[in-house]
Amino acid sequence: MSGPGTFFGIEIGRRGLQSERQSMEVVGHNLSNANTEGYSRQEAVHVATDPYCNPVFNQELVPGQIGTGVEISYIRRFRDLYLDNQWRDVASSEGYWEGLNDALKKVEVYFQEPSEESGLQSLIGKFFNAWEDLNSTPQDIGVKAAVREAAVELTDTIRQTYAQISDVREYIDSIINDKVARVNSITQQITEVSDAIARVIDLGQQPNDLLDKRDLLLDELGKLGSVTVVNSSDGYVSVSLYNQELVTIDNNRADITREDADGWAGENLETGMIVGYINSLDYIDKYMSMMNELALGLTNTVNTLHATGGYPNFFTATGAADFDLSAEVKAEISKVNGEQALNIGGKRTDLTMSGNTTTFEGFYRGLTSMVGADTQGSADRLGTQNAVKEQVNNLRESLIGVSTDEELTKMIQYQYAYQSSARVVTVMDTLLDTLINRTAV
Amino acid sequence: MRVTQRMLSNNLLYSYEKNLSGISKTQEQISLGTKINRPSDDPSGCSLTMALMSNLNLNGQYQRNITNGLGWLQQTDVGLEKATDAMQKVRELVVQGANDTLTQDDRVAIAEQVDTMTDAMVEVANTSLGGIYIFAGLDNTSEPFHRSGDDFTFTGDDSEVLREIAPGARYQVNINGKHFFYDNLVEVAKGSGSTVDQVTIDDGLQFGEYKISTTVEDAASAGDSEAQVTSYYTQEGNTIVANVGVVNAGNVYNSSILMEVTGINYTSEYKISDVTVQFTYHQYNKSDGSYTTGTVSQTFTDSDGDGDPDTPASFTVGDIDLNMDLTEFIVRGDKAVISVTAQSAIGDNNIGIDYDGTDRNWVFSNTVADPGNDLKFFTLDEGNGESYDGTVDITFNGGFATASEAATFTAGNIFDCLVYVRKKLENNQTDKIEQCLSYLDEKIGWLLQERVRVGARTTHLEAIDEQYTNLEVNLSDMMDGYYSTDVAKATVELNEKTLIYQASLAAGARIMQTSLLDYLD
Repeated sequence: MSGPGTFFGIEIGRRGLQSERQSMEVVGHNLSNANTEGYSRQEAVHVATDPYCNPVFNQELVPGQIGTGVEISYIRRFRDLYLDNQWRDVASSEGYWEGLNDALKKVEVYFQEPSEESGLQSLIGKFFNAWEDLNSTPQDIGVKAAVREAAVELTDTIRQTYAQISDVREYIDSIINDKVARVNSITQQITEVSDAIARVIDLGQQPNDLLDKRDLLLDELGKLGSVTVVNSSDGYVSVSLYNQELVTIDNNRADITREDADGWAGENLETGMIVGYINSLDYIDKYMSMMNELALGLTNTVNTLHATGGYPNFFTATGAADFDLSAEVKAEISKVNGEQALNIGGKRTDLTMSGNTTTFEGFYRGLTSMVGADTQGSADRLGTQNAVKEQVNNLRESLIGVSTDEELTKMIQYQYAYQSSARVVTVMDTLLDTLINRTAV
Repeated sequence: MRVTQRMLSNNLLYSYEKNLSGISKTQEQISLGTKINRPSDDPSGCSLTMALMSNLNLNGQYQRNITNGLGWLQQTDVGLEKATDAMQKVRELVVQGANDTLTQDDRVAIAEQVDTMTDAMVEVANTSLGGIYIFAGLDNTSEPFHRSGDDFTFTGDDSEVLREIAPGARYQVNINGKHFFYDNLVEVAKGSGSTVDQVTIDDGLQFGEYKISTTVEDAASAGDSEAQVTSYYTQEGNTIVANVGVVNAGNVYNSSILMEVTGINYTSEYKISDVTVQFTYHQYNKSDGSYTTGTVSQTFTDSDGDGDPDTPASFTVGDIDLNMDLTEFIVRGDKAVISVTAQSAIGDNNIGIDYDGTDRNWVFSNTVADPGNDLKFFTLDEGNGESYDGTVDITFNGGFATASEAATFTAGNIFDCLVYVRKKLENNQTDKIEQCLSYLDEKIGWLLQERVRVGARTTHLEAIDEQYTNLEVNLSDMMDGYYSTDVAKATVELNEKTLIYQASLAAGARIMQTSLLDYLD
């Protein structure tokens, strides 16, 4: 009979050994990378090799085909594009609230309220109380000194708070620039990895680990902004942030600038950490302008009353940054206008701010509430997004994660299969030994 | 669903972080004692707490202002009490002085005591509270009242001293010391039918009660021009002017004339040969109200040798021809005040000012626009000859009407009153002593009235103070509700959370350590 050949049996055994060994290597790879970030589990796909069937003229037609063993056709990588997109969407929302909350928390630190002794509200009250005390003894130098001291505390605190918030703003600004640079760096890396992936695919192999690397970069990008990925079959991707194409399908990339980022923020979407930080700047600007309003309001109201009857201005300010006592009052204590003490003290309860609808303390309370509400709001939203992301993460993990128990079970399976194949080889060996060495010797 | 180790560890980490942050928050609330430690913990609660804190602070300041104000009011009350006591003491002295059995020397002695009480009154007017002079208004860092002989000066002002006791509510805590102790004219009482609007005087006016009457002349009251002696001072106590009259019955000038005897020459028989008299006059023209003043010196001689220096019989003072007879008893230094009223016709406006029991009149025709404007006239202290040159300015609203008591007032402040009383005692003017008692009673009445007002204000402020104290308790309670941690509740929460935390850790540890490897050989 013409069959596949004398040594065919050993060949089948050899194929079995090889495939099982390769499968065990894949299992080993999975187990080693159980904790690697962004690793998707891989599986060796066993496929029966092509059955033997040789159509020649002098061949008898026999029923069936003869199996020829097993081979690893390819190494499957467990990944779902849909889950990836969903993950990146959720991460982008989470990133937005994370950025916003981070910035606002840094600002909130400087509003230490409620506080009975040292908060800015209590200092405003202390300032006006000092004037009320001065009204009881309008010419007393000692009480005038107390008024001046209370004013110094107030101006110092307002200036300092403003300066600290300014510092936070500058810091956030630099974070944004950092993140923009990071985006450019990521897209650069993506193009390099895509090149490598394309080359491997060209050769007909699966660049699983390279794909993992690229997906990890895309995950990070997704947190920074709202990313859209289009895959092509030759291994390249087109990556766009907010519909602005950064990497084209033929692997050309473009840098983004800070202006681009500002443009995205202008579209009022709540996605992406960069946009989150940029939006926080708007909030911070609002707080700073309210501080300015407070300083100017105090200055104008007090000065209008104080600079009468030959006395100088009490405050000087163009905003909260330079809100201070006037030089004349600093130099000479007698320049504090005791005659207006009652009127100035009474301004504490007058509706002097916000178009004459609220008092100084009420205005500051409004500012503090705003800061508190904004921070709490962003923290709440962050918490919600955190929980959502946890769920989505679990879904993705469920697909791509390595379960050590599963891998170990598979390993036992492959181990036995290997042992079986070895057994086959051994038996074929004995058969051949009998045939070659024992027959017709 | 397929579950991997990573999922288990992620879940554990996630729940661990959540539990721990919850525990941390509760721990912070317990250890700081406050539920709200940053605005974002509870933005609306933070705002409410801050509003309550501000309110409490504000109320505290108002209470401080009230305490300060009460100090002022109480010290004012003490001052007024001392002033009243001093006036009562003076009143007793005057009653003593009215006793007929006393001699002039006795009265002079009593007058000295009155003088001492006057000094005491100046001290009371200078009452201070911690270096602040409470009767000096806002200009109050130095003593306001000074006495120099019978002159009194005041260096304070009449401002209100205000304390803010509620938003926009300013409360006066002083009395107007200037008005009380120093102003010359305090109250003007108007009788029925009076059309007098305002009366102002200057401080040249002699202390005492003035009654203004107004009459629109009708047939019955119209009459010729008259002259009379309205006050006189003679050292010998005798009549020095026998009679005085106006030469021209149709004289149109009103005048107040101060007559002073400046020189006398005697004959060898100790009879008067000539008398030089100086006449100073304030003259008003009836037709247009115009005013002239001047001094005339006139010498009288005794031409017929009967001892009376009665030549010339008439002479001119300003635009008025007067005839006057001097008596032989006239002595150098004697003084008299002569008041001349112009002739009045029907429809004319007649203003009468009664001082010390005598009336002096001015007649103006009804074409004169401002009949009571700046009337100057002389008066004399009949006890010691001091002359006073005062001005009374009357304004009318709604025309001139007949009223017998158009306006009544007492000119002079508390100090002037005391000086007046003392002078009456010194000069042994027993007939005036009754009147002194009524003046003293009037001043004492003011003091008592003002004390009542101060008392009412004190009670009011004390009530407000109590309100604030109650309010403080309520506000603090409210604030506690929002702001302070309920430690018992928080501790229970902490225990709950800690339990959950421990359970999650235990479960996680258990699960994560189990794997197939434990069961393979």
